[in-house]
Amino acid sequence: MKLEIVDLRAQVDDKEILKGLNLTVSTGEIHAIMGPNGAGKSTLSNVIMGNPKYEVTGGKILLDGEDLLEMEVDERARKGLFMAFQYPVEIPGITVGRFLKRATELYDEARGQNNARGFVKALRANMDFLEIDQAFINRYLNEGFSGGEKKRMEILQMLMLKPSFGILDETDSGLDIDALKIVAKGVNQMRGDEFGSIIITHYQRILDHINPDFVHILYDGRVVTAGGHELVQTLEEKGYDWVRKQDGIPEEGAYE
Amino acid sequence: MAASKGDILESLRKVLDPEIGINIVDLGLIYRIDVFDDRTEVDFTLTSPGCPLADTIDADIKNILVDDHKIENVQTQVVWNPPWSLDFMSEEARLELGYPI
Repeated sequence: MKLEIVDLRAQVDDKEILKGLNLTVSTGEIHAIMGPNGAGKSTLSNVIMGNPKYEVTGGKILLDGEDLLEMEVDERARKGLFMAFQYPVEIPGITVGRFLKRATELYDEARGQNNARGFVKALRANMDFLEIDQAFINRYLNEGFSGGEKKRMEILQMLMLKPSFGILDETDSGLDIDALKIVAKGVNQMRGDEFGSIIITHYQRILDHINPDFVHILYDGRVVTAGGHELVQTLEEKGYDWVRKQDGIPEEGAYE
Repeated sequence: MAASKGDILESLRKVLDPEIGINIVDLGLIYRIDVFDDRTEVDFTLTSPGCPLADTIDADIKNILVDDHKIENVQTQVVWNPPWSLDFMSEEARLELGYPI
């Protein structure tokens, strides 16, 4: 499958954040998107997924040629898009087990599959893999979970759903090195011809464990530089200021 | 080739308890299946005595075995021993109904 973002413009609260962003991601590819605060990283993921808070003012997003922006959020999920939230919400009253069971059933239904039989077995195996205690199955989703536990729960959802595209919106922020490695392990487990990913991050650290195929630097609402993993190293050494100067972006443009 | 017990169990997963909306296999309502040359016997129970759904489930079992395996001679029996309990449900059914697993 192919996710194409063409000249995307979006605003939130009347402030333009994305200013003509281009990005194409196919299944089988892991793309990292790095950028300083305010560059539009989270806006990008929210717009792809359809958060109504963000208003698209121009450009398009196509999923295998279909107009994604015309689809409701749940429709996008049924088509195979998944987003791991930067701040996962707590849902008291719904246990992890029931939530995941229903979500996988709906996604299976959309794809004409039925994996209901092996659900609990797969759930337990994936929890073991992500080093999540089995007791979490019976707890209310994210309620009282630590930051690391919430992020692991997002990755567990991804492993259970097996989406075509996984967007990780700063999933690594606030994680200690052990939790970070587990998140990376989850992404690497998904890796393959049937899965594409957009890893949005501030830091190089998670990319050392995931090793993306492509790295894009987002600056002031646009992808200004793209390359391979070596770009991460360059960025680490020279900082975002280097990107700004290289692309001749005026300083006040950065954090407007 | 004749349908095995496993094949029959698989087909019975399509029979739902109309009240609960979960199939009778995951609910743990099927107590016995025996396949003989001339007939197939199925014992099942209900989640509570006096449950008015016995006839519906009975008919559904027979229909699905004809549809799936052309088994015409099915002898069903509603049994009450042991009494059904929550522990008989599969983990999938427990999750669905909100019980811890």
